[in-house]
Amino acid sequence: MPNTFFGLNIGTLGLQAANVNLNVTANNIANKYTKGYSRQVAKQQATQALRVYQKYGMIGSGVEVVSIDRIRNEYYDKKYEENQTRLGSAQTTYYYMLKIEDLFNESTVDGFTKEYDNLFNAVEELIKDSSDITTRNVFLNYSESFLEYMQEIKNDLRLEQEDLNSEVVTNVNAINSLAQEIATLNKQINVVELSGAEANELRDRRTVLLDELSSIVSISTDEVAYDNGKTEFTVRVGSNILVDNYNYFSLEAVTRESNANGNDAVGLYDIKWSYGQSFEPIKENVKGSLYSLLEVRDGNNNIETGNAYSYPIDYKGVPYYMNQIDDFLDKFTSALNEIHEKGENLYGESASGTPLYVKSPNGVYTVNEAIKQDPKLMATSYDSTDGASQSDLVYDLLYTKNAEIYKGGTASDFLQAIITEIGVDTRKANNKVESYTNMQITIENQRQSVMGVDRDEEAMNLVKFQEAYNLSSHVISIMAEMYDRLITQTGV
Amino acid sequence: MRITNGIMINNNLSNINKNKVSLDKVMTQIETTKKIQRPSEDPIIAVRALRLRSTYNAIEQYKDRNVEDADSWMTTTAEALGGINDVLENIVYYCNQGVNEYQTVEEYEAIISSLKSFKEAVYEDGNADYGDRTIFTGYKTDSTLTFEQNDATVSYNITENHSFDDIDTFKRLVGVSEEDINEYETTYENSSTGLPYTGANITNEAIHVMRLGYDDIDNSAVSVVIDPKGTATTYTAEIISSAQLGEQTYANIDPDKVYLVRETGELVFGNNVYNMANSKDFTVNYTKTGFDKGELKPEHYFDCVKTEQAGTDENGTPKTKVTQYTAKDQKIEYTVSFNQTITVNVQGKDVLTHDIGRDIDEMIDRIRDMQETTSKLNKVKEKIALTTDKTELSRLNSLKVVLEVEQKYAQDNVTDVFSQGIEKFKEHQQNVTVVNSDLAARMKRLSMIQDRLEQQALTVEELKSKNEDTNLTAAAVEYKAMNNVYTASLSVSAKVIQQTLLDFL
Repeated sequence: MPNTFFGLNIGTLGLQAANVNLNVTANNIANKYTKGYSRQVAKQQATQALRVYQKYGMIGSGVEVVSIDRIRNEYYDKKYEENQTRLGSAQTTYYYMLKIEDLFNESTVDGFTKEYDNLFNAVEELIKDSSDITTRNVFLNYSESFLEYMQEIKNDLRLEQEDLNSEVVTNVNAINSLAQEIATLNKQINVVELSGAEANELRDRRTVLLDELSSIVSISTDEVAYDNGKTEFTVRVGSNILVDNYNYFSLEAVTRESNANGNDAVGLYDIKWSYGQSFEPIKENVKGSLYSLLEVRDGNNNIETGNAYSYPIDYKGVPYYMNQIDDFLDKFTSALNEIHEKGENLYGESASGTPLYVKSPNGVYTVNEAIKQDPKLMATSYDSTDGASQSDLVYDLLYTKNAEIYKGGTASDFLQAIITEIGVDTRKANNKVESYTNMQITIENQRQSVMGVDRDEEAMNLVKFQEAYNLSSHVISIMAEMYDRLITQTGV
Repeated sequence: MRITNGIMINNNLSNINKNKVSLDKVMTQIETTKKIQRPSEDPIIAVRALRLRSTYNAIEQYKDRNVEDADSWMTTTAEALGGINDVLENIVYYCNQGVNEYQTVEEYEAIISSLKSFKEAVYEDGNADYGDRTIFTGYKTDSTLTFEQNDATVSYNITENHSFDDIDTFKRLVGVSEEDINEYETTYENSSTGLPYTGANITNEAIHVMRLGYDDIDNSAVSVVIDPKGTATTYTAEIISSAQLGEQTYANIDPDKVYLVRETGELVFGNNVYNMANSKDFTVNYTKTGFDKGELKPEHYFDCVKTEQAGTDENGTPKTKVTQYTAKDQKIEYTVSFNQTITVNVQGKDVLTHDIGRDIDEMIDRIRDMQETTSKLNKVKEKIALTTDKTELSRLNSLKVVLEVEQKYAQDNVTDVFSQGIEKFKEHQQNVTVVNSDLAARMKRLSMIQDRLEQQALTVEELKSKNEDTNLTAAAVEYKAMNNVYTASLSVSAKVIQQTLLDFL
């Protein structure tokens, strides 16, 4: 026969359990929109049954809450992180390719094809009246405007490269601070869990940090659990350890001593581990936004430059386009100069040694200042005694418009190829962003399907546990009535 | 699968966003009227658009500028050619008058002054310009066809290329000299001519003569190379002045020599030389210093070396500038369509030749011959009226007979030169007509090219529009549809996410 007050005790336990459940529900509801929060359930079980030496054997003694667990499937977390890496990569590429595309945007504004056409329209005018100083000036001005336009794009590309470079630092700093936070969380989690409790909220927070980190660099995580409840959590970037339980290794951005590509902005960063080893995401194939930044910043279309700081990067990034522009201007100016120097100017002197365009020691192409000062110095014919309107040389200049001197194609082919390359690469990045975003939503939904807090479910729980609470209260009051009857009214 | 409200909200948001993206795209297409805003939206459209724009730009350059400019140039040229033709027409008219024998001295005087003014006018037409650029001077548009001022210092060494056909056979009269009229001589019959001998001798022999481009040639070596590309026989012309002609006479021409009459710029071929030169080309090289206003500039016609004064050096010594010109075709070509050029100019050497002026000179010279003869005859007639001495009277009378013959010769020569002139100027006119019809053909071709360019421009514009412009009707319909979808998704979402189980408890 159990204790007389046994029933009252069971009622108390039920009341307590319902209370805990109601609190867990309240917590779930409160955290419904907390980022990375996984819903919690109170794990309750019936308490040890009592052996009462009766014919019926054992009797249930009530309920107890053994733990409060978070409902989460870590498999989806891994998948999510993998996708974050790809998405981070694609988003970064897309963002910067859009900016490069804007520099070359020809579909809404008049760009370099228009400038190029204008220049050769001026050549057409020059053919018709090569003796006229005004016509010569118009041609020279369009020449200058074309050269400036092309070089402006190059400068803008260089600014773009500087932006990319400073974002490399931002990314490196973000990795460091995330690593630090993760290491701190590892410690806190262990402190909590060594006492036997579950560090649900801390673990949720760590997963949020890992989600963030994985969009910058691809990571692999590893958690080793010991019997005493201690865990060791490791985060690897490529083959290097970033977080080793309570410790982390930081990355540093180090300025290059000399440029990898001729046109590069000065002071691009390379990345090193704090212990000295260099970290090269592209060589190590560590994807993520950092990878994409470096790819767009340094991509040279797989060209071996022979420079110590450069290696073939199979991507058409900023250096590639800067080189293309240089290449183009080089071919353009030398083709026109070669023709020009064979001619004779309006003074009847040979133009040999008077190029139309000159390249300054720091690589800037301009119209020859002497010719700009005195347009009569420009040669328009091979034999000036033929007369001022002899424009056989100008004809040859015009022929370069459609001559296949730019890598086996015409200038328009060459320029259009650039547009196509940028267009296709940007589009590719955009497609990737779209598909990885879709994938992100799918995985997130799967994750939410397990861990998400549902309003209706919690409302139901609220009703359910309130009812349980009410019933337990009833049990207690009924028990109280019973005792009252037994103690104060029975046999009195 | 367990669906939480969170999932539903996520999906809602993502779907609404997708609808917004589509809606935004259609809206932008309508607002900008362009299918794509950046190359990455459709690289193929983008690149095709660039190509079409380049093509359109080129067509516009051809259509609106090059063709227009070519047309203006050619129209100006056609007008100038019309003027030249009119002048030549007038010259032919005067030649017809000149053929008429019964002209008075005054009338011939009038013809001379007309011919002179025509010569001036026709060359003046050669200086026609279009926008300050002379149109008949080939590439030398900054230089007039003729000298604009007398220039006594400029000197040219000229090499003329000629063919055998350029040599004319003219009769040249060597008449009674002024001295013969004054001097007393015994008269007797000249056995060879049958005329009474008067101490004077007249001849009117056919000689082979070619007028060089210029008269007043320098008294320096003049070389004539016959068949320069073949056997190349070189003669050095014997230079004579017209003053010497009286003694030397055209009749005494050495058949193996070539003479140059400096003042008139006539090259006289001896018979043997003439026969040797038959149907061969030849070149003449000579130097001339000092040119008059209205004379054609040699550099537009011949290979020549020009030597001119060009300021002074630091010591004050005059410097000279030497320019070498090579005669060649100077066609000014405009590109008027893709890979199509058109010659817009007419070169002075094709219409305004030296021959025009020199043929006029020839006519004037022959009239002058006749005027001289007439004045000599008048002088003799005056003397006869005043003389009483019988011997003298008989001399003068026989002199009068000789002079009457001379006058007849001179008159014949004039008639000949004018009738030849009709032929020659008709030929010059013919030249102009040929050039003019060639020009007209080119203008016709130009106008056809222009029509084609207009058509091409339309086609390319249409292609361009098809390629890059929004089809507004389709876009508007799509916009409506998208908008419906969008509002529907909004209203559904609003209902779904508002309600919870609690609303029903």
